Amino acid sequence: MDPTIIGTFGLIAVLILLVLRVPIGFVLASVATICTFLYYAFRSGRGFDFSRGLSPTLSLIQSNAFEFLHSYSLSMVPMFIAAGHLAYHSRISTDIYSAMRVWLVRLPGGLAIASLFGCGGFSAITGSSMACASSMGRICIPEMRRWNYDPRLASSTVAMGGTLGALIPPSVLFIIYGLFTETSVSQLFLAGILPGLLTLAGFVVTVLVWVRLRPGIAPLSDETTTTRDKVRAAGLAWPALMLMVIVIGGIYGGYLTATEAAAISLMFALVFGLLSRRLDWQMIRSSFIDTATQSAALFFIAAGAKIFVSFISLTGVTHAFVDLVAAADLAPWQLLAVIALMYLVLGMFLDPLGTMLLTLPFVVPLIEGMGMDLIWFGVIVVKLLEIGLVTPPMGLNVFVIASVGGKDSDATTAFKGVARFLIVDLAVLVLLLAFPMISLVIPNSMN
Amino acid sequence: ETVLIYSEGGPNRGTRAEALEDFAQNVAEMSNGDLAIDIHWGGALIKLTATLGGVRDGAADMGTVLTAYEPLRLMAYGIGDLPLASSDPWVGMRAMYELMTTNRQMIDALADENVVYISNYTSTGIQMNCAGDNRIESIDDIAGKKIRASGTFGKVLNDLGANTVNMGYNEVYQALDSGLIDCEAGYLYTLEGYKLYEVINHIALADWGQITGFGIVMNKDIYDGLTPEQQQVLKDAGDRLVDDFARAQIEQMDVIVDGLKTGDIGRQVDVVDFDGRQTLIDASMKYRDEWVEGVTAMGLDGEGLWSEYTDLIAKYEAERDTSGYPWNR
Amino acid sequence: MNDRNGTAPRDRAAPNELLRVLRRIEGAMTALAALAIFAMAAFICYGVIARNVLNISVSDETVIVGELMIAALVLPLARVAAERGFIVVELMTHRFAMRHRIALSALTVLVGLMAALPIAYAGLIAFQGAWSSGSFYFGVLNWPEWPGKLAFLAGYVLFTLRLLVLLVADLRDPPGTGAGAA
Ligand code: NA
Ligand code: NA
Repeated sequence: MDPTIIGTFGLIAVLILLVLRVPIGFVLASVATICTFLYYAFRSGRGFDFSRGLSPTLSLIQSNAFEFLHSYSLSMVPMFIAAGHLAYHSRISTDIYSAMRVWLVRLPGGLAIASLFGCGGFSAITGSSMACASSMGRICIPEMRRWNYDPRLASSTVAMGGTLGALIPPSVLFIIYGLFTETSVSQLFLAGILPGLLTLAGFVVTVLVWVRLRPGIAPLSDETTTTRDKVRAAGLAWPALMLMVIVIGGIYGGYLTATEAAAISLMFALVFGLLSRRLDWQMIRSSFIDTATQSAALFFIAAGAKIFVSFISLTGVTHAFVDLVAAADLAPWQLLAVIALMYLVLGMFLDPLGTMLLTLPFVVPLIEGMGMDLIWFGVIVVKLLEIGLVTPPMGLNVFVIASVGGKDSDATTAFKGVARFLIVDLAVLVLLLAFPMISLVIPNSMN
Repeated sequence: ETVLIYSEGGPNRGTRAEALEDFAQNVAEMSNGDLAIDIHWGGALIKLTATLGGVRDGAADMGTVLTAYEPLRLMAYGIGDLPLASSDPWVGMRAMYELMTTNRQMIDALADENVVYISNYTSTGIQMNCAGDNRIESIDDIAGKKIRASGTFGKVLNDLGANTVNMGYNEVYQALDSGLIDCEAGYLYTLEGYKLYEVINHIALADWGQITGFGIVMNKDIYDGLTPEQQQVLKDAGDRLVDDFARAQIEQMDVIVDGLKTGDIGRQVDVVDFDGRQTLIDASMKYRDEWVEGVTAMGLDGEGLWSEYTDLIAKYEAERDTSGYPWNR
Repeated sequence: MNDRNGTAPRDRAAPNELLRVLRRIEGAMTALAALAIFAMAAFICYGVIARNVLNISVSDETVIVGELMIAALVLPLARVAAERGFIVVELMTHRFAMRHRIALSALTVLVGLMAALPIAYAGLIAFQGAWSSGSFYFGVLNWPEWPGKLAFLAGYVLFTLRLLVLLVADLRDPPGTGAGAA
């Protein structure tokens, strides 16, 4: 059987099962496993051979479901999730939000905007969008809900804010991109700054317009606050500020890696909660238990996506597609449009890193052949991959939010909110495509 | 036409990727299109750390393996990672190639894992690369430094008083930039490939050992199913890869060192010679003894393998000294 | 047997007892996973102190944390399944009639089994390989591969078992009829 036929049936099966409300992790892992098995069983070209299909399939499952989880650097995700739970129970996050609320009391959608700036700040210390979304989601969403923000607004704000994680440096995706294109990592980091800020501005505008059109989604309180209230509220926020100083100062000062910052955040929240007598045994227990179940559900999806990446690699469909595009003799803008479309489609199903590994070996020579700037293209690729993190059906950031955001911020609700942001986000993408200078002005001025 | 699936953990960029692409092309040409190699880059098919298992089980037909990820299953092949012998890429790769293709114990050790050895790569020698005001120019400079190092090289530096940190190469750039680590003990080509020279100020060329437990293996069932002619094509292409890759590495090393000295690479970096290479080698000896002990426990003739390997190194060093590298003859 | 639900038919008592044991094992596994998350944070913090304050290196940090990650991320899977806590995307199913939902619930579990069973089997083979060969991770400790592989296997076997229980429960007491299991 032809690999592309197996692949086509696989993707159709994924869509049907998702519509039938089968959990995304079940769908990805099972369909990818069956497709991989069929690929190897038919590989010899002499019809179906069960035993020739079995051993390679089990090997690929093992390497994707085990080796992928057996990771030091990914440990930051469960640790940041746990830190978020502990910070919530020890009211570290509540206090800083009270401060923000007092300060932003007159600004419609103020807490959502504060969350976006929080995400932007967090992006400057972590290279991972999932880590960004998991830590900010646990802190911001319950607070926004407490002030009666609409769950769609609350959860989608943080899901989108999390996508700044890989655009604003440092960024794991830029480092991998630099490796595949032999371009300068520091130039890529510099190139990501303005697009990151532009994206952030786009999100803020989205919130302002959305709240303007539907004031009910972000109720304004009518209380009046004095300067003294503001100072007092800010004073209460010291543990949160301290945590930020530890994490940001630790990473920039060269004392911590991002993974270590996650571990330190967790311990800080735990120790602070114990010393201030705000944490009891029951809270600690439920923080860690919830973290374990949420992380397990999340990584099960990610492992399923990894098996899918292996299968897509086997089919050679990305290679074939890019060859097809190369042969079509397109104008530069047409080429970019087709490539952007490809990334958006792959981003619907795969994780950013997997998508990069699958596509860059074939896409980059094409872009180079057109004489386009590889640093600028890196920004475009990362931007596209970040959009993939929030698009259904497989939007990892949205699933992170669904795991950490509490009862009424499920994936479906978050996807509904995300749809509003995506209009502006795609406009930002078009701007970045049309004006390469937005990406290149900072790196060029540093030369 | 037989299409062989190849799993490569690295990107399709750089000297080694070019050598692998040439290898695939040579196989296609030498077999007149009868054999084709379909390379899956960047670990998209199988993670680098899981490649041996993937090739063994037939998920890929061929792949790039590193002994560091399979310290037990590839222990015999790990002879190439001991930081002792020559750091000349051609000498090291030639010696490994001959040992792995002619020594019965080596062939059988890989056959136990259901794989066949095809060819070899090398990392080239280890250099001391430092950021900020840090520098490692001599043995005394090692103690107290925070150094990213891996494998046996890390163990030896730790023995010499360094505070060694192990991290993936993706993280080294940031770690050097922020000062999390002072130095990295690494290879010239990673300085370029991972753009580490952007954050490094001082390099001491130690040319300490090299990683040659790093090569191409093939699934044994698939290999045995090929015709003798097809097997011969793979042998010839593997043999040729050794010379081609060694040449490319040696030429590239010079280009990188010159580029760093003059700044042509994008940035000027201090490059000096490391003083005390012999001390590093002496300090590495105890890990040779550990290796001999380990493979002897597996029923192999550890001392015998070691002396055969060192004889081969000596043989190719002599050949290089008398007639030069093959591409210069 | 101290069955609190004394009115339950006799033939259901044994499965209920089994279910209780299963639930207790799932709870213990999840607690172990929670402990693993705390342990990795504590161990990494120790590494920070060792490097910055004591100026010594911690060996095999990536291996140990990797092993703890397996425990943290695989052991709770059965519990997540029991709570039907896997993430779904609601597209149009809310329009479906109840009898369709019953079929869909069984389909969910069947697809879950197709995902979990091969992984569990692959985990068994990997564990056997690691156990019989004595494979280890490169490092100072030469940490053996089998503990992580065993945790992985245990997590997936339990996960598969729980899915089977859910399947039986779905077929016997369809969800939405008020008698759904777990
Ligand atoms: Na970032
Ligand atoms: Na998506």
